[in-house]
Amino acid sequence: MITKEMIFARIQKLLVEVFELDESSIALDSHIYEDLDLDSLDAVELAVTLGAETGITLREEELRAIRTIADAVDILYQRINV
Amino acid sequence: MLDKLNLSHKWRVIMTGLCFLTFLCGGLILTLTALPLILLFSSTPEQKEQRVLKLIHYAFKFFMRYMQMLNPIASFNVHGLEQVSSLKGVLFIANHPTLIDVVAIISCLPACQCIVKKSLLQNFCFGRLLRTAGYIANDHAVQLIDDCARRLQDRHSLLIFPEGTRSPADGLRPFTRGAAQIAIRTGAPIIPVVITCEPPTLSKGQPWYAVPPRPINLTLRFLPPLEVPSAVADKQGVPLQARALTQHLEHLFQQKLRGPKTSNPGLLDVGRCNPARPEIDFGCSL
Repeated sequence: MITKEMIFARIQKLLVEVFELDESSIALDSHIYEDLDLDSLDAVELAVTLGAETGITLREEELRAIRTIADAVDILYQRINV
Repeated sequence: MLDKLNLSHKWRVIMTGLCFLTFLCGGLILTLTALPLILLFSSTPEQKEQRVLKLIHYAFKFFMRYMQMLNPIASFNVHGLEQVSSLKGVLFIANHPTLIDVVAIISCLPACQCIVKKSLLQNFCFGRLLRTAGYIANDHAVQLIDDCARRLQDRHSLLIFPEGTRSPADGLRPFTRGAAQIAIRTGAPIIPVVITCEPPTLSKGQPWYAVPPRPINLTLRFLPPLEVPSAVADKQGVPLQARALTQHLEHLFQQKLRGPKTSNPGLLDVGRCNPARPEIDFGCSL
């Protein structure tokens, strides 16, 4: 069973690796555009990387709905544990 | 002959209004006359696109002369065009001090497409012209990258304003990363175009009739193709490269706009113009 904590940890690690973000700056309530300074293409990049690992392809409307890290965790959690 | 510099302020307000009116009416007239003829006598979509691009180029060329004739513009100077005019499949990246930047740049480039706000492609007066010319809407980031990549692979050139909208009066807005993303993902050469406008005109939110105290001097400086520094190339992955390239471009423009005049002969170090009317702004947000 994959937990939300595991998904968050993986996203956090990816953000550090791909975007060189400071790990401590990444929290569940971090806004990915305003707090983490990602843009929509970065979000796609992240989704593609996560998709390659999990086999889950996020739909466009799902991607657009993501505003915070918690949103991303929730969507992935639901999709993984269907 | 009237001395242009002595024309009254009120006269220039009227002439500025006439320029706006001419621009809108001109777009509509070309849409109703030249565009149907091009569509009728062109056999392929590429031919239609190329011909409409040329039509827009010549219309803008005319319009730049028209604005000089009617006096909102005192002088229009272009530097460095000869070193880039033969290049194809390149990204022109410009700062955006004034409303007429895109008109000025396209008046110099006969086959350059532009990334514009989606609303502009739906504009009643010239939306159809721009759509037929292959101008690209900026509303969907992923689609935008795909569209740009396709255009650049077909050896078309693109014009992008990385600030997203017109520059503030005191300098540049932070650059968005879309232009750098496109450059890195496609490998297209970057030609920076540094624009200066003195005095600033048509601030954002100001009405069109708030004309500056004297006619403007508009200068375009086409720089040589950008050499991507190792600080960008050495970064791992597109996101980090895009960040580094955006930062590099931003510094370059800041330097060129503030730099000593001696290092940039012909480039007026006159600060930046204010942003102007958003409703007909060609600037894009990437």
